[in-house]
Amino acid sequence: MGMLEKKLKSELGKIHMRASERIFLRERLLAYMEYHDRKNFHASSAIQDRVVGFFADFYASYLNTSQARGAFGVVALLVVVSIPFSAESSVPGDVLYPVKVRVNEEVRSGLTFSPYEKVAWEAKRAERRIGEARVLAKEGRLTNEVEAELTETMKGHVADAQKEMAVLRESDADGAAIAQVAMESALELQTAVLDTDISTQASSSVPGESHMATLALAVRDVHASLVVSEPEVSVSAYDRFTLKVAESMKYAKELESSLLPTLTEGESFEINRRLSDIENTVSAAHTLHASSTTQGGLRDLKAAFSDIQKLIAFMSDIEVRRSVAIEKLVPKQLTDEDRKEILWAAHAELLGTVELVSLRLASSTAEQGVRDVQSTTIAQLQEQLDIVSRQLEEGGSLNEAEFALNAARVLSHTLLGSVDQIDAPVDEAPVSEEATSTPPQAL
Amino acid sequence: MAKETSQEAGGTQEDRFLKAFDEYADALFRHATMRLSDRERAIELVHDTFTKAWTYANNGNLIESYRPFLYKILGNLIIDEYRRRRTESLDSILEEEGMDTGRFRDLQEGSLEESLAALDAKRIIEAMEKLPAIYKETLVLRFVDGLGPKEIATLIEETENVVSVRLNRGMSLLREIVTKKE
Repeated sequence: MGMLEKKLKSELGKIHMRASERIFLRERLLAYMEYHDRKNFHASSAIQDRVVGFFADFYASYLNTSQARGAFGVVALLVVVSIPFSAESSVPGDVLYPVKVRVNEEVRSGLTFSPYEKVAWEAKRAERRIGEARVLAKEGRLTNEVEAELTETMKGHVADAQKEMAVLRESDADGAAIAQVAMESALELQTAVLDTDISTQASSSVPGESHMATLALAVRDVHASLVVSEPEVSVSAYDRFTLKVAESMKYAKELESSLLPTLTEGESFEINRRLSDIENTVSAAHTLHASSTTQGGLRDLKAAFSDIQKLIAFMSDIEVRRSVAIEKLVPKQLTDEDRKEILWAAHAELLGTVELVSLRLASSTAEQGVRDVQSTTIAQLQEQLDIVSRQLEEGGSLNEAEFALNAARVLSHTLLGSVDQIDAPVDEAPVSEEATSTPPQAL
Repeated sequence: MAKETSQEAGGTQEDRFLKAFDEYADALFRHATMRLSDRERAIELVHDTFTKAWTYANNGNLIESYRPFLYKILGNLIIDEYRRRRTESLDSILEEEGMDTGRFRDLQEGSLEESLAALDAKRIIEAMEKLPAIYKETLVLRFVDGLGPKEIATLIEETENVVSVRLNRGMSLLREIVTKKE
């Protein structure tokens, strides 16, 4: 043992778990081992089937007999409901998981009557599958097989939701559009959460442990398929969305107020900033709608509704708040001051590019043709930058300034892509072996 | 004969697992505490390490040697923790410091180690908390866990030369921190 190790040994010896901590940790592990004992796996499958069968029969008989509606039925229901209630937090592999998906969720499906409710419920089921995958991943229990199963089930729920949306479309096109935006928002949020989970995980040292990449890709795919199939809406869609946005905004503000004691100052500021941005979007939508076609402003209203849904999910789910930054979910809208700051910064950077390339051009020995092309591009770039600075200095249009900046960026990209050409010598004669051995001629 | 069964290796799977807990839990806790400077979080990560190992074993996989396996899991959990805390970017540290390799030297007799050994042990441990994650990891594995350079290289999936460079740089930094305080 080296000198340093010897020296450190006695100090390091002071760093250890207390006896009580060690005992408690061992107990927790024993409980974990007992709960996840593979030997009992096959037995628990049989138990699971019996449990599911019991509840399925019970609910079937409860719903069918008038006697069950009496006091006796209520008491029995209360006793029996407690177990399905416990099943709600179960995940694949748990004894009560089949009760959750094959009993609880099916019962809830049976209790949704309107197509809108059915769409919302199937979307919720898809979110539950994703949530289960995340819980398993966190516990190190998500294998590739389980992930594949959950992915297929999630896709099944989304497909069912789409079927219900198709039914809804027949009778209520606007309701279907609202349901679709809500579902897209939910999937966007789940994509953001999964992306963050994946990016913060280190490489697994446990073979077969999944990192949800398959699930994340599937969520993206189903989201993309929804976005592509934008439904047609009626003339009253704008009013329906306005009402929906107003309801959601009211709920979001009430939620924010109720959560205030638990939010940090920073979180509260960011949420309020987004709420304010959404109100601006709605206001702009109304202005556009008032001055244009019947559907003018609808796109902005849909965007506002989507943002509110994501914001509500962000506020109401602490796991989402821990996993993903609000900026990723609902990017803040830039104020005019923000935009000017960004424009000036980009302007300065591109000006630097112009100066750099001009310097190189001044000392270049490249062919005249090549240098002429570069000079022209520099002049065009400078022209666009002049437009940007003029608009900013004279308080002109920021949109025009941004347009000019984008053009400047393209020119800069072209310039930098070909900058090596202006450093090339005019004549590049091949060097022969003889030449290298020949001493240079005195002039 | 082919590899020994878990029965022959000293009992059932559960017995081996619990034996590994009794043997390594404290060392893992010490490692996690030194790297995270948070004993409560260290206990949680040790718990998570063992539960992951149990899940792996319970799925029918044989763990031939628990020690490196547990250290590997814990190391990854610690990296997850850093990323969650967002205190240091491991990648940016890697980029800044580069991967240039040096010649391997026997650190047992290095002058750097000797000069550090002359300093107060408690100060050294406190100073280790201030090191960038990449050096702290290597120094902890070397001087807290008592692993050799080859074992460290296997664990962190680097060459022995890289381990040597990190140990030397880590100890130089450590000396700077400690002597600056004085």
